[in-house]
Amino acid sequence: MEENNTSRFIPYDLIQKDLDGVISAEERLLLERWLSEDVENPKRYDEVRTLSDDLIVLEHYKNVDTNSQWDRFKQGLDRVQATDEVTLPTPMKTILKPWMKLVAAAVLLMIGFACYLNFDRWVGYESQLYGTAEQERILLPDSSIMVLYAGAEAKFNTRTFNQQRIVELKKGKAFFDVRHGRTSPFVVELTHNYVRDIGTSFEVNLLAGDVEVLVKEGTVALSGGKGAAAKELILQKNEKGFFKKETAVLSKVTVDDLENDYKVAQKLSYSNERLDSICSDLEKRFQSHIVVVGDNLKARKLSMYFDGQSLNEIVQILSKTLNVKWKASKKGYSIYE
Amino acid sequence: MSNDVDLLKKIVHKDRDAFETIYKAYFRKLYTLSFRYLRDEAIAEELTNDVFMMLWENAGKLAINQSLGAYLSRSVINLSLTHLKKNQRLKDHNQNYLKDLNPADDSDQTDHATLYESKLLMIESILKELPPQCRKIVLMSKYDKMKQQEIADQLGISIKTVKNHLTIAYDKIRVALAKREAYVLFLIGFLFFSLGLLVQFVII
Repeated sequence: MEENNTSRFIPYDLIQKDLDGVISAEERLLLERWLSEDVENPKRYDEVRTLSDDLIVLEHYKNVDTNSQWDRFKQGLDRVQATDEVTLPTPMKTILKPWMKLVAAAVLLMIGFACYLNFDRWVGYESQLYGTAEQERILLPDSSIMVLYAGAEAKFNTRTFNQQRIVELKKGKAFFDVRHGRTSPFVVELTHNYVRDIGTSFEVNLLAGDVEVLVKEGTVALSGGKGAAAKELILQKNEKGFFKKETAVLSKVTVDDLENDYKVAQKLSYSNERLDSICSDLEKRFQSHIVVVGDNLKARKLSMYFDGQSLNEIVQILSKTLNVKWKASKKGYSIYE
Repeated sequence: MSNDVDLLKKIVHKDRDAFETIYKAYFRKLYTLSFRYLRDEAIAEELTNDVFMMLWENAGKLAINQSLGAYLSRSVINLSLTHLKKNQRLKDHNQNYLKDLNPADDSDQTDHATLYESKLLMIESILKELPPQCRKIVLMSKYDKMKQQEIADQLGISIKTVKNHLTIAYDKIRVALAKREAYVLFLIGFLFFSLGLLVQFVII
């Protein structure tokens, strides 16, 4: 140090000793003094240190035998490749038989078809409604009103409703007050037929497949089937239309004729009584006319209990119980086999 | 580099010859780069081979958007840095090199292994140019790990002469490396200047 005491002087020997870890306390003091003499000296120290390291690395660089390294690496590579071949999964082509592809295609097609059919329901466009309360009042997208009675079930498509005003009545009783001034008709789709509004408010009642439509206001067309060719029965205000599922027969009566029928019965109880006597009692109570066709049918005995049903409903219940047919006319009701 | 791209395409199709070419072209400098940080021959060798194995197994999946050399260098550096993190002693020792390296910097286009190799080769050429006695003393000091007094005793010279030879050797290498860096900077500056002139010429 004493012979080179300039700022550019670098004590290589001291740095080398420091790096080798053999520097004495006195020499360390000299080295630290040199480091503090100039702000550049720590950088020079690092430079020499790097150079010293590079010289060591250079020795290793020269000693690398790439060929022998490759030979060793190759062995590892062979092992990996052998393992890969052992564990290589069977290609899909060998697993999949042609018939499997066919089945897969069919399944995919079915899934696609199901997706297409249920698209509206799955994406939430289809609105399913249930009449849970006594009278469920629902405002439809076109501002028409639908009142669902308890137990009724209906659905409509919110996406397409403004283009096709169709409400599907699945079961129960519903009242419709249709908003007019639109080009598209308002249709209530039923299982076997439909009710087409012509300008009105009306009530639809589904009874075990049979249909009753009561027009409160305006005009309604009750169809005898599905499709454009279906026969339609035009119902005016205060007219009640009937559709019988089994015969597909359409009939109508005015509500005035049936006024008495809609009187609600008090509690009625019949125990092992003949049908004709039951009907006779009902005629008196409802001031209506019920014809039972056939002596055998008249003689059939029944035990029945009614509480709050209309005559119309009672006739239907009787017919169902005896598994016979019935029809309503201006004169009254007929029950026949 | 275009040759590397062709070789890489062949490696994707498991061409062993192409892989051998790449391995032999890059192993030495990648190993040296790893050894620079780790100072452990076995681990440096293992990590370098891991990088090659990764290249062989995943060549088809690798998105190499720089030169293959830069990609392999970055891979070796990242693996070495990960190893260093587990070994604090080595990390402390190499802090000087590590400060410029960010393991996440995958956009680094520098082929560190080739750069470092060229530096080592330059040091090697400077060593060859040193006077025989001077070179001998450096080699005894660095490669044979002899102390200065041991060198003086073996060569029958004073320790002061040994110190002088070491000073001469280090100075020559430092100056030569500094000149090279200045030359490289000048070259880069010249290239940019030429490019600027060319662009101006095209615009006019």
